[in-house]
Amino acid sequence: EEAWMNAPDRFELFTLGDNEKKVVFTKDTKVRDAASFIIAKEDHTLGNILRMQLLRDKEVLFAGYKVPHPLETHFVVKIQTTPTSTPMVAIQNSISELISEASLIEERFKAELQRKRGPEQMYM
Amino acid sequence: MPSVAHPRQPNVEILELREDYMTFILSKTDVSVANALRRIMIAEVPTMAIDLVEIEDNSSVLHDEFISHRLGLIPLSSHQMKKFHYTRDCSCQVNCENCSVEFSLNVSCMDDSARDVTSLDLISRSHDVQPVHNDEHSRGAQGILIVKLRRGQGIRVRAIAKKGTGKEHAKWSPVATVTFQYDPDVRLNDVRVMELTEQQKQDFVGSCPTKVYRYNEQPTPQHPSIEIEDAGKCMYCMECKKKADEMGKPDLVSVNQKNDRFIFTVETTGALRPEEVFLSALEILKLKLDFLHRQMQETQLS
Repeated sequence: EEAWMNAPDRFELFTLGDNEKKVVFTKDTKVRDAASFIIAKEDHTLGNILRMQLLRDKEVLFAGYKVPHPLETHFVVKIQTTPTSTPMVAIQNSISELISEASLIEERFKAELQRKRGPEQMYM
Repeated sequence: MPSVAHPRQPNVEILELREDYMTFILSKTDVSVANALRRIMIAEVPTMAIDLVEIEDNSSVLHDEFISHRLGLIPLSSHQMKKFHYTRDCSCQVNCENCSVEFSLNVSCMDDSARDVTSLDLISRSHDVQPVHNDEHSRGAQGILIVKLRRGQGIRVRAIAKKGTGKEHAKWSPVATVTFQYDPDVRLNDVRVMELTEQQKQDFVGSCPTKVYRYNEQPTPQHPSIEIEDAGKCMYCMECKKKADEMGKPDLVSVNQKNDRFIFTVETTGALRPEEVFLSALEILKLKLDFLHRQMQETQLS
């Protein structure tokens, strides 16, 4: 009687399954210093910033991401680096840099709030 | 050891800050970061919303699930989200005080006039989580209308609110709308401006629907005959470009976007304050990245 009998539960969009790993690493067999990462239960929100940050790395020769199917919540990042680095190192660095950038924005925003609000305390 | 050319130094400038509305400029960062924050504000910032409705009596004109749906959409003040667990993560069996808030609605109409059942009639068991009624500035009745009752009709309901995110259902989205746009970069070519007749100048200024330009009859060195009054009002409609083409001067003005400056507009439902939404979004982004970082390290070791 329900129109959505085949639809998975909504919380599956962001909750890892029982035997599911967040990250699956696959080394590329044909190209050296290249690999793909399958990130589960994430979407363009992370995929796009990760890809963008990877492209700013001097050691990265190729970086791209895709969401293979909109009904399956994961994305794939493909990275190729120069021989002096590896895809794993590149992605780790990119993630760290993004964390710093987010922290910086947080600091700047909090400082702006203080300035805007004056001496009155923030009520969080 | 960053191998990036030069790490970015993002900056924030708040333009306007109200109870349920905020505009600010985020600059020196990439569009993907701005978009990620926008997506998180809409879909991943948690709030409270009614998720389970037990109906004891409903003799109104609206059927049970209709009313339940409306109850779910009522914004509930969610400033203390850190105190609550998600019900699926909670150690309790079904519901408890740590993962849910109980509401009751009990109204019957005795007199001849119609009785409006609004969010004001929704009684919460928790002081922290309360329905957000219409703000005091809006005209008309306060409280969000749920159903109208006639004489003899009544409604008695027990509702449980739980923590959730917009990803699961739009009722949990704290935001009415979040937008960001590029900061406009409008430049006039002064040489071409001098080549125009006064009538042409006025036509050009008039072609802009949002009054980006101003025409000065008596130009001075500080205020030339065509002046940019407020580039921020530009909507990229390109009417001025069309006018310039028509007049045979296609390079009279250039309308571009500063691709590292974003004007954000955050309008909330009242469940959270706009600055709380943005700060929560930043924290969630960091949590996602942190989790990913740790999982990466584990994958590296195996």
